[in-house]
Order: sequence, then C-alpha cells, then structure tokens
Amino acid sequence: MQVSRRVFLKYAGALSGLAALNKTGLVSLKHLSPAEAEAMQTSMGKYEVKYTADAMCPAECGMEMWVKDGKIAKIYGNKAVPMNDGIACAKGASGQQLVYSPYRLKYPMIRVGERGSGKFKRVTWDEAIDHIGLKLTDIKKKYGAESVIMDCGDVTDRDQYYRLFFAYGTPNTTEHGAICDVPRRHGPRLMVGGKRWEPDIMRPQLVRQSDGSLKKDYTYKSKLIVYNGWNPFVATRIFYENRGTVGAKVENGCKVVVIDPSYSNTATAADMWLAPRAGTDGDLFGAMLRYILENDNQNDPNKKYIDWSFKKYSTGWDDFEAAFKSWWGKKDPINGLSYFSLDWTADRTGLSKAQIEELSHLFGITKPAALVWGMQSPGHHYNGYCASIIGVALNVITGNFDAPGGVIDCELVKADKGGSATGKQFKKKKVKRNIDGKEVEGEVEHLHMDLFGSKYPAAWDDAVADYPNAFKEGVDVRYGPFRGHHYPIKAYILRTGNTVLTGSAPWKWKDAILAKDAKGNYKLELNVFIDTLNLESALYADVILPEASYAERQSLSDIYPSHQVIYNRDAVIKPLHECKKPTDIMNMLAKKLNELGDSDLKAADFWEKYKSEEDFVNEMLAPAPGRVNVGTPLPYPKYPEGYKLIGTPDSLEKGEVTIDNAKKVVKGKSVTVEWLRNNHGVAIWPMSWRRYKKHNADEPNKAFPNTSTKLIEFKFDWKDGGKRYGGYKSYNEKIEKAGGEVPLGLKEIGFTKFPETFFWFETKWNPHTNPEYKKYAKDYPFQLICGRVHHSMSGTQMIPWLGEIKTEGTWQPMNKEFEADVPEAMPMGDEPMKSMKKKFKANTYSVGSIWMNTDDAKKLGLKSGDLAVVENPLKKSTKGKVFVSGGIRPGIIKIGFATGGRFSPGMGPAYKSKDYTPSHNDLVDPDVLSPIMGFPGYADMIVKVKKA
Amino acid sequence: MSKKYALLVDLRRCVGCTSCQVSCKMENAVPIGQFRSKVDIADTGEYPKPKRYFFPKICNQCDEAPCIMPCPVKGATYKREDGVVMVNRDLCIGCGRCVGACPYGARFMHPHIPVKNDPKPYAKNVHEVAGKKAKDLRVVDKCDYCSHRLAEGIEEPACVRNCVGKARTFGDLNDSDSSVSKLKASVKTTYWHPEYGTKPRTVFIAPDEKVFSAADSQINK
Repeated sequence: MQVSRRVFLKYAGALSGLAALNKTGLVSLKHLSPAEAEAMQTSMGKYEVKYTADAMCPAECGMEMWVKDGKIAKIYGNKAVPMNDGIACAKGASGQQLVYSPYRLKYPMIRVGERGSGKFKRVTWDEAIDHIGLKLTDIKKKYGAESVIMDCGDVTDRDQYYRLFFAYGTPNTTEHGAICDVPRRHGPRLMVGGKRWEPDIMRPQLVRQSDGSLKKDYTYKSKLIVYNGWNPFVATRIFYENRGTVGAKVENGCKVVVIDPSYSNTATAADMWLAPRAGTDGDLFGAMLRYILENDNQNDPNKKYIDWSFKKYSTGWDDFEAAFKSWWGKKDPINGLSYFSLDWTADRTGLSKAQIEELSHLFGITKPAALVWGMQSPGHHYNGYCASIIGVALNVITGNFDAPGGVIDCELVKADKGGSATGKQFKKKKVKRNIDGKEVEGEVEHLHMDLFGSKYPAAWDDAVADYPNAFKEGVDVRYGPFRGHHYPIKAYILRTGNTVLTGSAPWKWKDAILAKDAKGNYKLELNVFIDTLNLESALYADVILPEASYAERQSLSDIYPSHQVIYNRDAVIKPLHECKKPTDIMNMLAKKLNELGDSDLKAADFWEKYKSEEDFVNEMLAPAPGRVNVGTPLPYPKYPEGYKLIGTPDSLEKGEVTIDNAKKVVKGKSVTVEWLRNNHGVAIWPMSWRRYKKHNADEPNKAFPNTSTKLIEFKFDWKDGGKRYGGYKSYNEKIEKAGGEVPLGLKEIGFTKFPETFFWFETKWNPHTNPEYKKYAKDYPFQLICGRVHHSMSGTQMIPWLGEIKTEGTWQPMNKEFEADVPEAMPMGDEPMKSMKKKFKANTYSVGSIWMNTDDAKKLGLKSGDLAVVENPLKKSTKGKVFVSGGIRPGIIKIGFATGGRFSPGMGPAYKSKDYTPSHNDLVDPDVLSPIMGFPGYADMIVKVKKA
Repeated sequence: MSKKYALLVDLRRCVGCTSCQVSCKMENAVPIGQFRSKVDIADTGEYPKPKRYFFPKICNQCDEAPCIMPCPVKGATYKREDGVVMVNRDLCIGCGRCVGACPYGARFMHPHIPVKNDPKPYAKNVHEVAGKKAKDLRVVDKCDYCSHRLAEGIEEPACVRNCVGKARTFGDLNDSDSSVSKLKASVKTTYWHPEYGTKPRTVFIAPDEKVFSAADSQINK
C-alpha cells in the first residue's frame, strides 16, 4: 500500500462533498448487496470454535481456532487466557500456512544415501518403528541405555518422549531451553529457585478483593521497566510484554529503558535507549549495584534507593556485599581501573559516565520498577551468570522482587504440571555397571552425561552444545556412584529442534554426526528426526518420523505467567498426511521395544495405560496448580497460609476440598481436560504479590521461594548448625566426594569449586573487557551479535506471509527474484490453502540480512543491499546483504538467529536465498561453552567485514 | 440513525508486530504480494538518535471516496450508509480504474476471484476490458472493515481482534459511548493525508506525524 496521487488527481475535484456523491446514486443504502449476502452465508454459524494454544513459538499463546469441515478456517487469540488476552501475533495468525504447508514432512522415511545427502526412501510406520526399535535394542545391549539422547526441542509437550526414554533407561533427555538462555536464568535459579524474571505487566490478573470476590484487574502499576538485551516486541516469547509495555506507558506513565547495542523494535517505545558494547551487561549491572550501594541515603528521599526490609526475607547479603566490594579494591588489567566504578564501566561499555549514573539513579529511585535481562544479553555470553546474579540482587535490594508493578519470577508462580506422566520415577530405577572390573550399583539418573559428567556437573539445563563432543568422544562419568564409567553416545533422537543449524556451530555438528570409526561406520549409530517440518537436521537423520502439527495434537501450556494459569492445547484437526501424535509414537515404540525383549517397557506403563492423548494429558494435569497459598492478598483466605493448593479453581472456591494438615495440602477436584474444555480451555487461580512474606505480618512465610532455606539466598553454599545449604551445595558435595576433582568448565576460569557467593569472571572474544583478545581488535574491529527475529525462526521460515514482514535490520526485503511453491489462501471453495508456484520479484520478500552502522558502512564502501563477507578469527565466514542504518552502535554487526543460509529445501522460499543470506551460527566458536553449564557463547565473537 | 463505523489506530501502542497485516490475510484470504492492511516500517535518523516508525496502513473508508467516481459499473464500488466502502463482486468487471484512483493504494486486483459480471456491455467505453471474457478478469479487493463479521454482529475486524498492542479500536462514531468515540474525544487525533480532501474515516493517534511521510519515502518501500 503506497501513496500515489497520479490517477487520483485526474478524478479529484470531479466530486465535492457527500451530497454530490449521493446525487450520483453511487451511495447504496440499507439493502444488503449480493456480496454481503454471500459473506453472511459463508460466515459465522458454521464454525466450530476450539480452544488451543500456539506452539509455533515458545510463548504458546492461548488461541481460538475456528474449524469448518475439519479444516482450520480462522485463528484468533483466546480472550480467556491472560497471557495474550485475546490477541494473536503475525506468526500465530499465520498458522494455516504452516499446517497446510507443502513443505511438511508427510510420511516416515529412511536414509538411502550418505548422511547429509538428503536422500531418503518412503517407508511405512511399521518399517520405521522396526528400524528404530532394533537399533535401540542393540545399542542398549552393547553400550547401555545411557548411550541414547532424547532431545525434545522447542515445545513444551515433551512429556511422552521423556517418559519413553526414562523407562528405556537413559537419563539423557533434554529440551530447547538448553540452547536458549541458560546463563540468563542462572541467578534466579540459584537465589530463589526460579528461572525467568519478568515485569509485572501480565494483564488481566485475577485478584482477590477485600469483599472476598475475585476480579479481573487490568490496571498497571509499573513505573519503570528496564529491558537489558531483551526485545519483547520482536522476540515475543513473554507475550504480554508487548501490550503490557505500551499499556503501562500510556495508562500509568511508566518509563521504559532499553539497553541494546541495536535499536530494537522495543527501543522504539523507550524513553531512554542505551547502546553499550556487546557482552558488557554484567559490567553495567555491577556499576548500578555499586552506585546504589555507594550513594544510598535513607534520609534523603532523592537517594533512598535500598529497601532494607529485604534482609528479613533473605540470607547471606553481608557475605555477598563483602565479596562484591572486594572487587572495588582491585584494578582491572584491561584498563587499570577499579571494578564497577563509573570510570571502569564507561571504559568497558562505551557508555558515558553520565548515562550510567542516570540509569543507576533512575532504577534506584523509581518504584515500582523492574530490571529484566534477556537471552540476547546475559543469555548469550560466556559470563552471563554474573549479570544474571547481579540482576537478581538489584531487584531484591530495591524492594522490587514480587512487588506490585515490580518483577516476578514466573517459574516460581506458574502451575505445576506433568507429574507422574513425565516418568521421572523411572530414573530412580537401580542399575549396575561394570567399572574397572568392579560391579557398581546406582540409579539411572546417576548416569546423566552432564550432571555426573566430567565437564558441567551443575548443568541443570543440559549442555546440548557439547553433544558433538560427546558423539565423537563419549561421556566420562566423574561424579556420583558411577565415577570412572565411560560410555559412548550411540543414538540421538531429535524432536522439534534443529540443532544441526542452531546448536552452536553447524560445521561442528555436521562433523560429529558424520564422524566414522576405524571400520568406516558412523560413530553415532542412530540419528532420528521427529518433526512436522523438514529442517536442516532432518538431512542428517537416518530415520525421519512425521509428527502431527501443533494443531493436530494435544498438550498443555502455562508459560511465563504472573500467577497460576494452565490451558489446554487441544487438538483442533485430525493429523494430516501420515503424521502421528506423540502419544501414539510413544506407545508404538514402547510396544516394539517390548516385543524385542526389553521388559523395561511395560504395557501397563504405556499402551494399556494411555488409550488416547487425553488420558496422558489428564495425568499431566493431576498436580495442578500445585503452588502454595501465599502472598498479599492471600489467594484463598479460607485456607491456611503456606498450604499447597491442588484442584480446579471452582472446587477450591466452593470449598469442595480435603485438607491434609500433616502434609499441608488443600486438595479439591482435579483439573481435567473436560473441565478445561468447559471453561474456554483455561484454568486460572488468583494472583498475589510479595509471596515471600506473610500476608498479615512483616516476616517470611517459609513457604516461598523455592530455596534450601525458603528465603532469598545471597549465599550459594554454606554450613549452619551442622547443616549445609545453598544452590551450589550439591555440586560442591559431588566434587568433594570425587576427591576434589575440578570439573572442566570450572578449570577454564580458574575455580576449584562452585563459588560460595558473588563471583566474577570475564567473557570470551571480547577485546574491550578480556585482555586475552586485545590482540585481535585491530584486524577484527566489529563485535558480532545476534537476536531472534520472531517471524523467521528456525521453524517458520517456510511461511510466506511472514516473509512479507520486515524486522529491524536483520530481516529485510532484499531477495533476488525467485520462484517457489507456496501455500496461497483461497477466498472461495472448501480449501483454506492451496499450494501453487509463485514468482517473487526482487526486493519484495524478506531474507536474513547483516545490520551495520551507517558510518561503518561508509568507511567500508558499503551501502544497503551490497553483498558482504563477515569473517571471524577462526577463519570461518558467512555472506549476506547489508542493511545500513543509524540504528546500531558503531562497531557492532547484528545477524538474526537462523535467518539465513537455510540449506534445507523444506524451508521453501528461505531455501532459495541460502547463497546470499548470512548464517550467524557459522561464526560461533563451538569451543566457547560457558563454564558453569556448558552453554554456547552465541554473542561472543569479533569479525571483520568486507565487500563481497 | 445508521451506524457510523470508524477504526482508530493508536500509534502510541503500536509495537510494529504486523499482526494486523497477517490477521487480515488470514481472515480475508488476501493473496501473497497484496494487502488490504499493511504495516510500513521506516528506519530514519542517525546514531545515536535513530528513529523507526511503524505505520499500519488500511483503507481510509473515505467519506468522499475517490475510488467510486471512476467505476464504470453503477454500484460495483459503493459506500454504505455506515461508511464502509464496498466492492460488489457480482458487479465488478475488473477494469481496475478504482485501483489507480485511490491515492492510498488501498485496492488491488484479486488473482483468485474471477469476475462474474459480463464485461461485454461495458467494453465500448471501458477499454481495459475490451475483448476480454469475465473468466479472464479478476475483481477488485480492498478492506471492508471485515464486513462479513459486521454482518454477523461482530463489530471487530480481524486486525482489531488480534492487535497485539491493543492499538486498534473499532466502533460507531454515532454512539458517543463507544470506545472509539470516547478515545477520539479525549486524545488528539489525525488522519493520513487529509489534505487530499477525501475525508478519511480511519483515525490515528500519532504522537509524531512524521510517521506518514517517513513510511512513504523511497528507501522504505
């Protein structure tokens, strides 16, 4: 839609005023036109409305899908789900183009060529399941069940696969979180037992009123939100941060600060945009903490930064503060300045002292405020743990943790789900292994490759980026009962993920999957790919199983809420093509393994127990909401404070419960799929704030948060009264029991055990902060960062409606002319989508691009649309067109995550641009795995750029 | 009194997500490459003061709609009493004159909806259809505020229904209690190129009116 007055002017003036228009008789009144009548005939009454959720991205918004003749006709947000409050993003609304995509996997396939050649033959499900079953049986006999990894990728209905493989006998299951933002969520897990901290802007919230009733509350309370390296407008996984941010601004005068080297879409809503150098998030947080500690004055209303009541609800602050302050006396080798001082921070971040001061003061003095940090900052840096820990401290000491309008740990407050369906109980099974001629007994879970392996024994989110090393070298168990046990990795089952492209550097993954032994056999004997989509990782599989799309299978969604909410991700249509649901795939494989003689897989645990996916989901719902009755206002004043609540909202409301005082549990009627279907798909329990304190007294309730002391912990490993506490306690105990053997990750940063309180170390590949890399600064003058482009993630680039969108500087209409099969919406007939060939003119369709600053581009003789080569010191390079703008800090290059270089034909239009679009992952250093949990340093890299 | 429909876009709340653009395509089966509703995104300014504008474009449902006059078929394109500018797919002969006449680019020929009305009687005066049969021609399409939803009493076009920032408000300007009336009365509003004299019905709250010119500049096409 483009303004053009060329023809308009020809007619302009021919008419003047509505009266003139009326005289022409062209204004039709009252009677329905035939077109309107037709519209009515085809409209609303004929649809069946199904409540489900969108699993195209991990925000998993509640959705309404309107079905006609067994096909998805309309997609809207579900108004009953508070995460999205009835709205749907572009991706969510484009679901038909994924479900009805010609690029879907349609039937099982077995590889006929070499791995990676993409040559497969179509087989029956029986043949495919036979093939996998025989291999898994053989591998278990020869190497042990632990030689199999089940990687469940990016959606939350992983439970069926976890159950299957726990029962089979391997503890090595994982999901996408392991390659998402592990360092970002470290502080919350360590200090409150949670995960992600988000601003209190999910609206509506269901709140108990003083008269005892429950009300949907839409009012915003936030006065300041600081988004550090977090871009909710584009990386929309915490979906309410879109409408919440602008809502809090317009309705409550909330200020917004965005800290990001690139001018993100979120920055467009910012009152202050700060663009520091990449990888200096912890530096800035440290400076804020030092500024607040040095300048706090309880007697000066303009400097009353700290809310000292936090000390009542926490433990270990004095130790933390002392450890933090000990750094002030040290001089940083990179600049000779005192750590966390304004000068030091200005030197390292590239921000001015005035900017750092202003931010620190603003955050200290504005209440309520929320400081949040995202996956694009602490999440993707080697030392992101430090930033995450300081971020928690900043929110806690300023009184913003779980305050109305402050910051909420959404992991701590979301509903419990999964329960026994997930099969965790199978990991408790006793097994024996022969180690150096001695038979040793332990539990299945003691075989875990990370938690008991030699490298990252605190990797509670699994070190997926280390899998390529495990494929080639196997696993050394160094901790726990099986210490000394070595086992190979022989099978990798990947489901709804694309690790070959995004699991660190693609070349490293390919190399490991293709590695052969002396006899010429693949070291990794079995590589299975299960998905709806034909992603790059499928090209490297031995067997491909087509899974029902998110609209064709059932599970639950519940993520990132401010209080307990759970909703049914219902199956909306029947599986298309030969696709099968996870529950059916689980049962088929379990039965096959049983037939092949594996008695660990029993009928009573699988195919006789779960006759349908609804049986499985009902079991998952049994523990919900499973959280304690705490906070102000108390969610259920009629039940004792601190008791765990289980059951439907209405049974708890009506008092149809049993109360177990010994176990401190209030139990109503279990939530079921049927209950959800009768309630717009969603169960919602009441919101409360300051859930760490008693509702009627200024003292801790000892039921929240989820730490060893039920207090906020600023210490991570300590002894008190003969007992040991803290988030790192169990990992240090492992090290001690292993005679002090230091895990590889900790060795890298010179630690001998997990630290007892505040700690600091530098990131990698950053010449501005780590002296080791200063020598590269001249030849590699740019820092390379990456970020999500919501519309073009690994698994949605085949959707043409999303290619018509441009995003920031990393997803721009810079295509060459091409032709591709695409699903096209049909305005007439019974099919919502029809596949057809379409021609796309040059520069009309978005492709991955390389974002750089105007002045930088000028110096290199580059302009928007020019092809450039980006190369790193490891001599890896990638190629793409540049987008030049003033919206990025000089010295920074940004590429979207998995936007370019898409080499699977299953990507549709995106495949056509693979030769001139950049792959950020090709430049990732696969050996930079963060020391505590083995997470890839996705945004720790420097590069040079030249015209191609 | 008839209703007087209007759509208000509050750019203070627009997050640039393009949900309106895609939701419209989903709702109305708009073909790839064409738009009833489109978000233009413009990058301007230099570091450290860059600016990015999001401009969600949609048919203005002009009260003096310049697309009606050029139409050679009486009633093929018309304005309803409630203000919605409609295309009658039974009458449209697909000449495309209205497409060029709209200064906002709000109209296009729909490749998958063939013309029903026999163009032959018009061919003498309408050279665009001369010698062509109905099946070779395609009707014009445009935003009609999701008239099929309105007809069912759902006074909420799909773009409003799914708007991520809750930036879009739709309703009846003749009802002073409607949210669109109240918002329009309480906040300064503006229009997209009102100087064209078409009397647009689609209203914007635009804190920075440069959004209109920036989005139409050459580099941001």
